[in-house]
Amino acid sequence: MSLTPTSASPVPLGESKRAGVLERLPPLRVIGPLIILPVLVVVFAFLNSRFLTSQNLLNIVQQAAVLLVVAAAATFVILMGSIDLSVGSIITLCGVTGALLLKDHGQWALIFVPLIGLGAGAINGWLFAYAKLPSFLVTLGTLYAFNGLALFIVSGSSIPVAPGLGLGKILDGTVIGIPTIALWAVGITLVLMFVARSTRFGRYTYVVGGGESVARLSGVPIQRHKFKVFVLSGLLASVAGILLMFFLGGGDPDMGTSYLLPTIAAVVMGGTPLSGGVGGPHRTILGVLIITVLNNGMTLANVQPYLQVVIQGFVVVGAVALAMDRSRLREIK
Amino acid sequence: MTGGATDVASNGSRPLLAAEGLGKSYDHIPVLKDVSFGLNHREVIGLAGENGAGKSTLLNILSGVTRPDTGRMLLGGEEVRLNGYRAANQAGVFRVYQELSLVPNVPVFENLFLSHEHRFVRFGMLQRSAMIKRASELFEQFGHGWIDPKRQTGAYEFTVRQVIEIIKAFALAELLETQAPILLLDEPTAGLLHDETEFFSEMLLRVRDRSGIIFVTHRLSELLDLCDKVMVLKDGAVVASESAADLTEDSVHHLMVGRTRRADFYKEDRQVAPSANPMLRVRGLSSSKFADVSFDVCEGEILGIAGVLGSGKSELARALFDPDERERGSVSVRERELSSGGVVASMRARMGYVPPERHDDGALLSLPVSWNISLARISTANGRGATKLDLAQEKREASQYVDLLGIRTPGIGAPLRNLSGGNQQKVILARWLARGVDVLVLDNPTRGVDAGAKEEIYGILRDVTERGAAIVLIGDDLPELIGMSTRVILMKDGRIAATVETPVDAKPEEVELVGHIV
Repeated sequence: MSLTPTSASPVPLGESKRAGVLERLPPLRVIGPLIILPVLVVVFAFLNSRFLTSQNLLNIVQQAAVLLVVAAAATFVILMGSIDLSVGSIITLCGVTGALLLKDHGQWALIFVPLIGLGAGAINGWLFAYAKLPSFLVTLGTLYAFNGLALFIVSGSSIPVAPGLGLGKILDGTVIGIPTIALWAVGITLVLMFVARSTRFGRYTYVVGGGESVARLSGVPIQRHKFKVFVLSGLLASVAGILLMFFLGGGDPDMGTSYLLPTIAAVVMGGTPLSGGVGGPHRTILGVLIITVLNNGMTLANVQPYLQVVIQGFVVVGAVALAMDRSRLREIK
Repeated sequence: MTGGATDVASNGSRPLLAAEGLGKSYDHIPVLKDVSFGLNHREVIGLAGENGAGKSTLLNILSGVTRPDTGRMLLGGEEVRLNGYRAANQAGVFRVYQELSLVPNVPVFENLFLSHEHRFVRFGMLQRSAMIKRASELFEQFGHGWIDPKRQTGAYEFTVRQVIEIIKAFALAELLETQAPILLLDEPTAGLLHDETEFFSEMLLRVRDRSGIIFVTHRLSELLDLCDKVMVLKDGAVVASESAADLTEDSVHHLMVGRTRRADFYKEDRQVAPSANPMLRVRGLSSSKFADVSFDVCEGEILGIAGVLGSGKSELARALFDPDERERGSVSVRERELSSGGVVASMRARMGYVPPERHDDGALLSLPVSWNISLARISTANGRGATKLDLAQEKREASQYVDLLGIRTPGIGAPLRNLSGGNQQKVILARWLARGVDVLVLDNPTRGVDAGAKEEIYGILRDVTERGAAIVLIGDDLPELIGMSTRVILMKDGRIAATVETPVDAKPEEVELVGHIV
């Protein structure tokens, strides 16, 4: 460094004076979930005394595990400003093929399941990044294709998994009372948080979402990176599929369907807007907890199950409304 | 036209449109200062000025798109406050945009009456036949009866669409019962070839008797030939408003660009006499937008490239950096040719590029200052440590450049959005300094930057050249190019029209350059 400072005086910003107190607070997308979660906990504790028991809290953690794995990975896709609608179908596809492999070939055969997830993610990623189709359309198509494939493989029927398997105990047992499925999910999420924060892969993800043209002119390999992110999403959806298979005790051609909306909702509610560029997997943890607490609490409060789906749907729209900075968008499509 | 025409007839002396002391600032930077004028019926006022002189802002105010901070606007002697373009239409002001605003995939007649269709509704039904009939009549009136109102608008070529757009103003004026519309023509000839321009002039002469026109153009001959009066804007203020008959192209040049160049502003004393070692060598570079461009830039030299919009200078800048934007010819840095490998290859050869559109192509506005600075270094990092980021080093690096370049920011973690334009631009320069550059290609690096920050950026550029780097400075601001560069290449229609030496002791005047580029 041999440059001479041109203006060393640290002049205070004229602009910062104009910014009011409200503008200096973190944006709503950041503080929103921090307010909503405690409010939900208080409300449900009030509605049903069983809500705050240690048993129920462990239930919540267990129920949150699968969603956390998918949503933490989907956060990377959404950070780029893209979307992966096929995660639920990849869960299903991997869950049922996992159950089938387990039944016919034993536990070791499960190592092939992540390959299916990788393949599914690669199809999405190739169509999006290299064939340059919008991710929404690509994954809307593969949402049906992967689900259809799962139905085809098992001819529409469920495949039960024998309880008491060694792998089952490792993935979905308990250690000193704590469900291991939750530990796996937390472990995976910690790794993903590290990836997002401290690796070039993570940085590229933010940069592509923050300004693709800037990223390209700064030497970021856009297409290759987009491809990789979708592969990551597919891979972790397959891991979620295996966890869910053990959790449910078998593979079912409908097992992943109910994960699509909660996944996107958890990411957005946590504070990663669909427009991308800001947020991260660490925020998604909060979103996952909010969704799981909401479901668990509504069940304990005896809200009719079908009505729960209605409420969930509107909660998602509400979360998007809060998280999205609509003033910055010129056109909304 | 329809009733009420007596107003104009009886008040012939009262201007159709009058502006009094219009002013506008963005982020405390005034872009329009105390602009006053009057436009009469049957008058064409030519509006001239460099890019950034305030022409678009003035038109935006007159067409209701932007609210002025100061001043007022009178239509037919009465003060109006226009709230949006539709309100301007109601008041009789119509704008023909640079980029045509017709919807291409609907028939011509629908475009003609767009958003005013309710005037053709009878018994709840849209009278399409009435609209088509009215459209045909209008085209007849203006001598363009051959235009088919039922045809898809996009099927007509640019010049015809422009005629349609102008006639649209009259169509709406008639619907809205405005006796004499005010037409704001925003560089309507910029996209036209020479003979197409004649087609346009003919149209202009046809409509002038029925309206008042403000006509923006970069072509000085048009100002003199087609306008009654020429108004020149410079740095947001009206510097001249004279009858076109009293002006010559030269005198308009002078009025537009005649700014006194201050040698200290551009730190001309620090201009390095270039060494004999060429850092960047360009030979026969061509693409669809420019052809056969060759030049050398030596260590420590700043080469300026000037040209009007469409001269190919920005496309050339981009192609210097991005091999994919070239069709023929070669670009070499330190005698090594860069032929493939995309922008990463150029970056590895220690070349950097600052694009003209800061918000779209340069700044990651939602991301922290420190991330913006480290980006190019990270993306070209090799070997160990390339996949894992050293966040502590990134912070040190950011703090270092914030101090060094005098970047005024609430903190290195603040989103770039929170910084002023000039400081954002310094962050983008820091991105390349952190990466390490021997060649910097800068396209309008001080656009939208206030004078103080400009001067600081000039200081940074001098620092960079003193270390031996070469700079290619592309710009619209001629005094900047003359002040900063040792040589200025003047581009016209995609080719080098002339090269002017600009040594410290013999800087040319702006007007000596202008003739080569217009």
